[in-house]
Amino acid sequence: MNSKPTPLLIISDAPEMQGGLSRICRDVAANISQSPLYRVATLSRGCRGSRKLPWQQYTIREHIPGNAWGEADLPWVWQDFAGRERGVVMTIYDPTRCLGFTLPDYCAFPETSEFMRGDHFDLWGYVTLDSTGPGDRLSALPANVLLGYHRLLAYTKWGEGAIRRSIGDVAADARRLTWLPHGIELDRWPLCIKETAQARMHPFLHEGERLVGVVATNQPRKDWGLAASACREIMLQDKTVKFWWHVDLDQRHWSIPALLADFGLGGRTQVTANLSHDDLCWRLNACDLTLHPGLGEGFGYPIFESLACGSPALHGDYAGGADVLRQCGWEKWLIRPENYRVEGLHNQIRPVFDPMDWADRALAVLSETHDRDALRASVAHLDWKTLWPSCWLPWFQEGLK
Amino acid sequence: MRLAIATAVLLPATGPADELVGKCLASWVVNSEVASVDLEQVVRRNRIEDNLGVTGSLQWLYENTTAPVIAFLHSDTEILEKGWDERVLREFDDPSVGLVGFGGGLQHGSEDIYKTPYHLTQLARYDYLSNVDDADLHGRRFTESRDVAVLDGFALIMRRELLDRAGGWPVQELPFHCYDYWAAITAHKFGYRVRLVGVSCVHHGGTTSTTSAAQEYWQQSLGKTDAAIHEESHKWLYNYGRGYLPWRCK
Repeated sequence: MNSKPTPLLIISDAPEMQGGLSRICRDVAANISQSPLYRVATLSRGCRGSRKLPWQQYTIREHIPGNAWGEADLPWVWQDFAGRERGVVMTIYDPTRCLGFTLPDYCAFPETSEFMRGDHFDLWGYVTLDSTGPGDRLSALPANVLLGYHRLLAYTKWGEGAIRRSIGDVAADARRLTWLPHGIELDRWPLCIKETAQARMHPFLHEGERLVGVVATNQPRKDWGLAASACREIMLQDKTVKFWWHVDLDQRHWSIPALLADFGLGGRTQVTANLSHDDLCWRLNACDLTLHPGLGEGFGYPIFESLACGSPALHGDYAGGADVLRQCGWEKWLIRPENYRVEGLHNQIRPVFDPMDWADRALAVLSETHDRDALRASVAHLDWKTLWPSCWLPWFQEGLK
Repeated sequence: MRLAIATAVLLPATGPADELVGKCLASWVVNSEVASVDLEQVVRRNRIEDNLGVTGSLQWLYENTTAPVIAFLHSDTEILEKGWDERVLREFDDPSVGLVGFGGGLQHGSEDIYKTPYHLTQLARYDYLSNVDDADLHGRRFTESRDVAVLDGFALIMRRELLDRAGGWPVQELPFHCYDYWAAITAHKFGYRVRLVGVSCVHHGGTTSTTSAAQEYWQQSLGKTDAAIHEESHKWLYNYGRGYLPWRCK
């Protein structure tokens, strides 16, 4: 093991932002920068930098055509950060974003292609996967991208299996493929007294009414149409249920106001955005159930934050989020897809659900009582306090052997 | 002094059990090739009224021996191989070796340990090797020497320095179960290697700690059933092993 810290450049979403990739980038960078083994920097899209983050932060020059993911920046950033030192570049991205790093033909910048052929660093990937393609494997292009890595890490056991099927066991073992889940800061998602949390939602929520939450970003992969359909069915069958939708933007891929109006949910639904962390926590504590209508999650933070706050969580039985929910012991809250479809440039399979299945399961969950402590305990292993020293730090230590 | 051979017995032992223990203890000496002046033999005799329990006895033996290497052997372990002790001591010529045994696994801890919610079976050992008479029933027969992840408690030969650094055996935390798992994890924590030496032997089993008298002792002295101690010990070890499990030697 080196006595001098090894340069580690993490390429992902901006660590000071709030999205899922930003969070895992920030958490990994923050934790590993505490170790004397590595010296950390990040290279990110839209990074404005923050003095609160104690490492060097580089910004992708998005105005350069073809430089969407930092392809043009990597040579100069590495030179600036590491000089002649050998180190590690770790991407926390979907493999389709990393074409330019591992497949020279897809890189618009000859200087980068040439640089990637040099022996400047090991390339590690913490691979974001929220779907597979035909044959339950990745499409050929993303699979080829993964072959350009020296070391691979999946988000979930499901993700590891998908990569293994896509590149084969020999290539996977050569890249020491394994999986590690994201962590959550359990202390920041406390369990509160449910009645107190619900009382804080007065006058929207009255005594005797139940609350179903939906927490998701406004993007195509989060099926707000499914959520709206399911909520309407729930409302028709149980007049005591109200809804809380938390979304980053109300007009983007979906029009939240249009969904509320067309599905007749307006009077029974509270929509929030930009909540403080405390407000988000007590609303999750107030929920009797949360719905997670993502059509494939690499991990799915809101699912496990909901459980940490003592609220049951329904999710579709597909991809990484379903895998982790099953591991936590809540297989009964996974909704089986009715069918599948193929979408996009990389033939990603997406599940198709019947909203009635979600509504029926939701009503069943609402009719049961739940041990909120047990819900929280089921995600205790994801607490960074224990997950980092038990799993992540040994993984980084192993990387230097 | 080069080696302490240490064991504990539960008295009174009668009839066949007494004969078996006598036969086993004799086999250690008969097959020894270490000069007697270099050999220290200590037996902890537990009685109902002053039973130290398994880990308590190991601690007593550690405190009541002086040799730099201590062979903690179960009293129902019969050694069949001449020169077993010289073979074991040769392993300790390498200062990186802290723990040696006669049966062990190539992996300790499941692949998903700490990544998924706790389950007792995550602490299991895998790919077990030994040269006991019925080795094939427990895993695979192995007669050579090699690094392993974990050892079985019937034969734990430890560098005293390792116990010194660890502050002795975890008597309070692991009164009976998992002390062998603890030994391997502790060796790794302090940077030592764990070695399996395929010494020919028989582990008769079931003569001491698993007797009804011992079960009664746990209930009376600790106020807990064996099942409860088993569960608590594993949970404690689960947390103790963070960062060191799974350990693989493949």
